[in-house]
Amino acid sequence: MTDLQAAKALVLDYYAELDLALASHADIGAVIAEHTGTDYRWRGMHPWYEQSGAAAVADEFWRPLSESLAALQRRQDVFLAGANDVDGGASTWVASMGHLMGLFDHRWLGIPPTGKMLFVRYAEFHRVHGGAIAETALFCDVISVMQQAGHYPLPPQTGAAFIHPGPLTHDGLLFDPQDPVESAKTMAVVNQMIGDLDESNRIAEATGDDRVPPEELAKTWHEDMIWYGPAGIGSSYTMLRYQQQHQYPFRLNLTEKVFNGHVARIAEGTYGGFFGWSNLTNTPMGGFLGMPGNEVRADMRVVDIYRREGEKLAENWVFIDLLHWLSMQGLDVLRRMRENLPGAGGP
Amino acid sequence: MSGDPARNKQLLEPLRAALYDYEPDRVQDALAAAFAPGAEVHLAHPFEDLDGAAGLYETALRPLRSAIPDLERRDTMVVAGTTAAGSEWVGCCGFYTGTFAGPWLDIPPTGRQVAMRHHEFFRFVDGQIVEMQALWDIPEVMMQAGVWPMGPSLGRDWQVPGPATQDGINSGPYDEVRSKASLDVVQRMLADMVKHPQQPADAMNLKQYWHPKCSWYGPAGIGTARGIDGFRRHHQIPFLEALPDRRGGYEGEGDFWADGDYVAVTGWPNMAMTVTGAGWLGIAPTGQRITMRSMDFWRVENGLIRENWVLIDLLHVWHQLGVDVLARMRQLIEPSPI
Repeated sequence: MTDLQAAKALVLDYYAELDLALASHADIGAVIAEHTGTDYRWRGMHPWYEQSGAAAVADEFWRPLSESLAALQRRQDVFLAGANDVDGGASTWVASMGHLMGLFDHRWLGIPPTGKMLFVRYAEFHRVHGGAIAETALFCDVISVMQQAGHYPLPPQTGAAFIHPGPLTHDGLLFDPQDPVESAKTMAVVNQMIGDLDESNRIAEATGDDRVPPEELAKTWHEDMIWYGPAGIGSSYTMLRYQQQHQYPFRLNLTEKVFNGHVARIAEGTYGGFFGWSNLTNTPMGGFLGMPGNEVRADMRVVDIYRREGEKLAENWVFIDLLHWLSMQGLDVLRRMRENLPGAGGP
Repeated sequence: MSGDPARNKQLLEPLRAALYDYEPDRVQDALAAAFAPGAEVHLAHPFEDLDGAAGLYETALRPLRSAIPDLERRDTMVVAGTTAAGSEWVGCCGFYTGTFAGPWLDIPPTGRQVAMRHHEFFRFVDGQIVEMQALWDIPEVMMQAGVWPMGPSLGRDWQVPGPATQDGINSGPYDEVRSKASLDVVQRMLADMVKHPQQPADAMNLKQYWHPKCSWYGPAGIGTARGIDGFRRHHQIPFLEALPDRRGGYEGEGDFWADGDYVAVTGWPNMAMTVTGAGWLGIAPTGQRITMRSMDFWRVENGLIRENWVLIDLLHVWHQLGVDVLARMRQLIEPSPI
């Protein structure tokens, strides 16, 4: 049996030192090196993509973030660990989700600062091996930062825009050991939900109807579910409104949807989550995000974090690397923003 | 020159007056009197081809007046002339206004005064309108209602003004010399403009044709750009990056004419291009061939273009790219589940 508590302690130690280094502008690379393996593999979103080694991760992601956000503070909402369901439990992963908050005092990715509080939504998955973090996937919501800074680049969202709260039950920080029976139950519901979706895809393929009847969703979701989506899509409350505001625009406006599987999928207590690289591949037909259709097979890298209540899922926090998905189609959203800021280089 | 631009303007006056007062019976009578039987009527997406003057009234004007009970149509420019090929056109730029009291095209009413720019072009044969090509800036109405469902404009969206010189409506005799000089400026400008992007931007010689304080009044969804620099940044660079093979219009394929200091172009469509680059309208390239209805007025001042009013049928562009803008608007505003 994997020692989840040891893995969690290791990540919490790392966070304590990393957060201190970020806020005090100490040697971030050294802190990362101290807690990670020699071949540390790091997966990030557009525009960071994959980095290897502590120095690169510090230089590309963490130091620029700490230089842009003064008094950076980690605000964790969910913290859990588990044996990876994808590889039969061979690997151990620790996941953390919440916000990196600070004063937005200097440009980040070219986004003009506001001097005000900025919440960078993040979710991180760490594989712990041999007493160190062997690999990490870090997702954050860059479009939400643009939105908070008044540079929202896309057509209006179908869902609502706000800073996502943590779980309704305020019990998402699983620092203590959890009942393995509960953990298994969460894993089972998440897997059933994934299986149901797969089945829906097969039915859609056969019938040409991509709409999933609400009864299908009701097998694994509460009626008053909340889907906290990424900026660009937004959040939806209740199953029917989720279908209207995200599920149908997604299913009806993307075609040849292929599920590629996950890298890690874990559950602990009443929480679960996964990430993929890439989870999904699809082709836009026109309409999703208010964008036109094309012929490109574009990849979606996704993080999902779930809270189970009783037999079903109640809350779901979702990250999608939409900037990568759009960049595969030829649109560089950040570049376009930078080029159109006042005072940008002349024509 | 063949045709009689001043007379065609006079022939349009009763219809313009009826649309200004907007009494439904008088509007219908004026339409019937001005339009030839079987006239071609092309109006912006989603209206498209309408069945003559009666179709224009029933499908477009009557529902607009239902939404805006105190409807009023104003012109800021009336530009008449004859094209090189001998087509006689009168182009009107202005706006529809009134109290937006009821839904229109499912756009929710604001209960307040609304303005929608029009570029309406009428082709005359033997004193009757045989063709109408018209754009209504429907996105502008969606923006006033707060329901524009597409990305933000690079330029500024506002109610564009009429000519700075306040002389867009002129009932005097047609000034052939002045008109020819204005048309010449615009056509030389366009001939240089199409050298780019095959040649560097300098080849466009923009400063030779455009006034340093020029204003480019683009459609809602692109917005207004100020000066050559603003025109380049907020419209032309993204436009040409996305549509480098654009042809038509700028190559003289549309119908061009001039009237004093004013020049106009129309065409249904008058441009064709492939969406091969990113960023224009904030979208990814689709690799798709599209056509465009882009209808312009220019005002020339001392040999330089000082103002340019441009409408593009953006809903038609989106439609070709697979996005039903009105459907997306409904999706965003309708609270009821599907």
